[in-house]
Amino acid sequence: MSLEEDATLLSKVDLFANVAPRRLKLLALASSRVLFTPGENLCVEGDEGNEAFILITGEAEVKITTPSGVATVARLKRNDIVGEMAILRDMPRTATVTAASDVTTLRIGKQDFLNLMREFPEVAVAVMRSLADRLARTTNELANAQAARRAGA
Amino acid sequence: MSERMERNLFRYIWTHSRRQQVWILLVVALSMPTYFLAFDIPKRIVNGPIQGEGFESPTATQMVLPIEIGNPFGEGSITIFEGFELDRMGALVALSMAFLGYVIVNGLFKLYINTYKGRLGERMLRRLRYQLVDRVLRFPMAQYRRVRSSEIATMIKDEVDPLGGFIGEAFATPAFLVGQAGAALLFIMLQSWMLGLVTLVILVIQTGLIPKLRARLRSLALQRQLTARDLSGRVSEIVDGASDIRLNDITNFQRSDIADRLARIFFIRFDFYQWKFMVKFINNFLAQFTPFVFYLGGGILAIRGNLDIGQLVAVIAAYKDLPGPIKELIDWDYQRLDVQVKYLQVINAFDVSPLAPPKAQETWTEPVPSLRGPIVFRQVAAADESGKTLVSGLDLTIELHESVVAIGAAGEGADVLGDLLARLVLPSAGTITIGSEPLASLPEWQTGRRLGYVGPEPFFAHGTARDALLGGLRHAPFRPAPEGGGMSPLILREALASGNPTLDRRADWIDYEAAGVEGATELAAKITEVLRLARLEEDFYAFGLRTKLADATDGKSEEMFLKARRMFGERLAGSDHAADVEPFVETAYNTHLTVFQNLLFGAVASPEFLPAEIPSTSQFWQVIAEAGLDEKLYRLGREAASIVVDLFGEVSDNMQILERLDLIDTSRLDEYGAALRRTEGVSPADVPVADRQRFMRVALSYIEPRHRLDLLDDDLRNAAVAFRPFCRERMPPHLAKEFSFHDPDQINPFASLQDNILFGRIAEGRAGAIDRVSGLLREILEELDLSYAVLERGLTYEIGSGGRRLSLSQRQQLGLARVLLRRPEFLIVNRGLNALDNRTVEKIIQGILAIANSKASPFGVLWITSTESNASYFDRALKFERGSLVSDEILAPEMAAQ
Repeated sequence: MSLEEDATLLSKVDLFANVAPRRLKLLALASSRVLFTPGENLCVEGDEGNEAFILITGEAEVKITTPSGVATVARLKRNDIVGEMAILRDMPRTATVTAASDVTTLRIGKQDFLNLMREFPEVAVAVMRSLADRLARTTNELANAQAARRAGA
Repeated sequence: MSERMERNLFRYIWTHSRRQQVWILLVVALSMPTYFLAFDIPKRIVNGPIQGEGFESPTATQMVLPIEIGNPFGEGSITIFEGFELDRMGALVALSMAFLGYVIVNGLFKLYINTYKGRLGERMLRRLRYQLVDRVLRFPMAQYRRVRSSEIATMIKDEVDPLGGFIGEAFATPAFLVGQAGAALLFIMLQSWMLGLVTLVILVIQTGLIPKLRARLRSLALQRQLTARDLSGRVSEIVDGASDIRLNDITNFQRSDIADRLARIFFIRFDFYQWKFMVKFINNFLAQFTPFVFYLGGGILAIRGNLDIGQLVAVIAAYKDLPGPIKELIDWDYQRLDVQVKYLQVINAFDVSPLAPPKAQETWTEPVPSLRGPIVFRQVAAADESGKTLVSGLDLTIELHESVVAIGAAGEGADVLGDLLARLVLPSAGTITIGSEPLASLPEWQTGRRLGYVGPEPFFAHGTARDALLGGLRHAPFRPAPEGGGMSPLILREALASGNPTLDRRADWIDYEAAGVEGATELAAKITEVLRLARLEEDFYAFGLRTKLADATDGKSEEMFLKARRMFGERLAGSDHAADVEPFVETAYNTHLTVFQNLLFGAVASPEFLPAEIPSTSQFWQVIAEAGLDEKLYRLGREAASIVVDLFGEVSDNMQILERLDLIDTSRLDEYGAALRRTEGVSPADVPVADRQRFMRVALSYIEPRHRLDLLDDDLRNAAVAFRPFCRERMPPHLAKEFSFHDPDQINPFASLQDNILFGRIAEGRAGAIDRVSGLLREILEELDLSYAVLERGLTYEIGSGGRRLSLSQRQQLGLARVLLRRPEFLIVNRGLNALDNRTVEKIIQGILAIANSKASPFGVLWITSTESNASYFDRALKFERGSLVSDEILAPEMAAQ
């Protein structure tokens, strides 16, 4: 459970893909390892979120409340990230994530992440690039979906 | 009733010490005869037995020590006792014995008079000081905003001090001196009326002129007093506002301001000295001018034969006794004026009106009558000190048990509503009544117990949190002090003699009835309850867990805490979360302790001992070296430092991520960089001691799970564990008393309560571990009935002057708890929790209103706030804008209907 390992882990996250490894080491240093036992919640739907978790070992279930009850919508594994948007904007958690086994995570605090961006603007630029990529992808998908619907109609 | 202070010091003294002053005058008069006789005897010893006058033949005898009453200058005295008939040797012994006797009697008189005067002065001083403080307690509220506390303190402490010395002398001394001077003058007159007349004329000039010259001295003394008082006020402002001064870079302005004041004081004082010595010169000149007239004028008269030479010599001899008393008399007069000025100065500052009448602050031990609502504001207006209107035309009725929220931003008038009701601000127009009584006429012993007020800045005197909490219950001495603790007859008598109250400070002042309990034991539950209401319980509970067990623990509770440790260990092991705590095991390295803590495996008596604080000359380093640990630690520390410097080398100073890294002092990153370069490639044995220790200190602070630099290996872990018994063995005896090792079957008095019960550390990085562990801890303490003991330990926390060791929000919560503890019938919270987050405030409001609306102990609430966020919990909402009530809305109609 070293800094090097954590930095490598961070580099695999979409959002940080463009950030220089040296800076990721700083972020790793500011982050901490958090262990969840089966049944414990990483986050709860509706709560205010100010941290993100990257799964290192174990699995977790994503559940949302629907009119017909609680439904499991996804399973998270190694290298998956929970609540990445929460460290960029203020919003309540959109789902509950529960550990399905012993889960080791790397916890990234919102304040630490913001501090890092403030100190090194190039980190902010790298994150922006990731977001722009994602936006482009989403826009593309939306256009495709609309085209498909029009074609279907 | 004389609500003004007596402005004439003499009248003040006379009023309060007439009998004693007359008595002292009498005693002084009584001491006079022996005083003069003692002067006379030496002459008789020398002339009689020693020189042989009247003992011309060896068998001659004389009558010694006759007692006569009569005219010392003329004939016809009455002889009461003829004297003893003695020969020369006998006369010498008798006269010498008489001399010794007079000396002893004189000394005793002096002793008695001085002691009596001293006591008289001290009593008067005590009376005056008490009266001044009493007046401070009765000042109108607005006055507190005007005065500087340190100036008031200086006046009561220093400025009245000289009065004590003077008061004993006030009447007796001048009487005595005038008597002495009068006798000498009379004697001169009898010898030669002409020379007597000259003396009298010069005397009149002297006593007339000198005080006039001294008038300027007096005015300078007054200025000196005022500037000094001002200085003390400024200095205390600097201390109180030190952080603001430094944060705004205005220290140099303060320096120049102080220098300016000191300059003014210097020139006043220098001027004072110049005048003082000038006056002294003139005074001495006049005193010596009289003998000059005697020598010249008397000499001429004598040469011409108009005056007998014997008479002239007698006049000059008699004059010797005159300047002394005159000088002292003039000095006394000066002192009188000086003291009078000081007295007036002090009195002026305390002559404030209207003072609260003494009746309003009576000591009231009887049950206090309830308020009879409703609270009615009729056309009330209020203005601030500058005359600006704060509220106007306020018409409002609040039922006694209604819960009302008043909403308005600062300056809109809502807060004034609370201040008016608490009488912190007096209405400039209109009336406020509670029931049928005007609010202004209610005594403080009623409002202070039935009304509760919580402002945004509660004040706490220096002491523990418990003192602060119980502070609001100390209304009157309800129960006498425990046996042997009361006021002794002597203390009681002195209190009466000085006009002080006879209220016993050591009595039990706690108003249990106000808290709704029977006695001290039930109070515990009540304290827990109000702390919970104010959401402070957890804070003090945590304080309690952090206290060292050594602080005031008896053997019995130690046994209980040990039991708690066993229970905790068993339950944790039986739960799914056994790994939440990593226990202290002597043969295993504890990853959640620093390397240093692992090496020592125990706790020290001093508050906290960090590796950075180990002196460089400490024996510790030697022991480490002997154990062969120094090189290992050096390598670890150097490695850690190089990683940190490498990562942060280019980071600006105030990088917040760095602050979380407690391994290295962030401001000294450069020093570490330099040390790293110096030691690059140098074998550890050759590294200078300073650098070696520098890196070893870093290693000692290292905790693997927190710092995650992956530097700890089994080798070092094993070495650290092996070091423990060695360290124990090598511990110098003077440190052994200050240190206690962790032992599973023993309480560690120097470790915190929490460490003692957990006997381990909460594992970092296990989600929810802290909550689970505290929950379990809580449960066990509850079962063992130790919860309150822990809370009570937390309440022994010293909150510091004004409660500054608490955060602002904690101070506000404590202020609320203090008021809740005495169960007011109407609670005013005037922005009293504005430092707290909204969630907490909401919970507090819910808790308070649940009790306020209960049938068992209902009370009214006026909650003044600037936001509407929690308004819905209240029965009624008032909104204020620009000093007027703009909306009055019933929120819970069913409540209002009841």
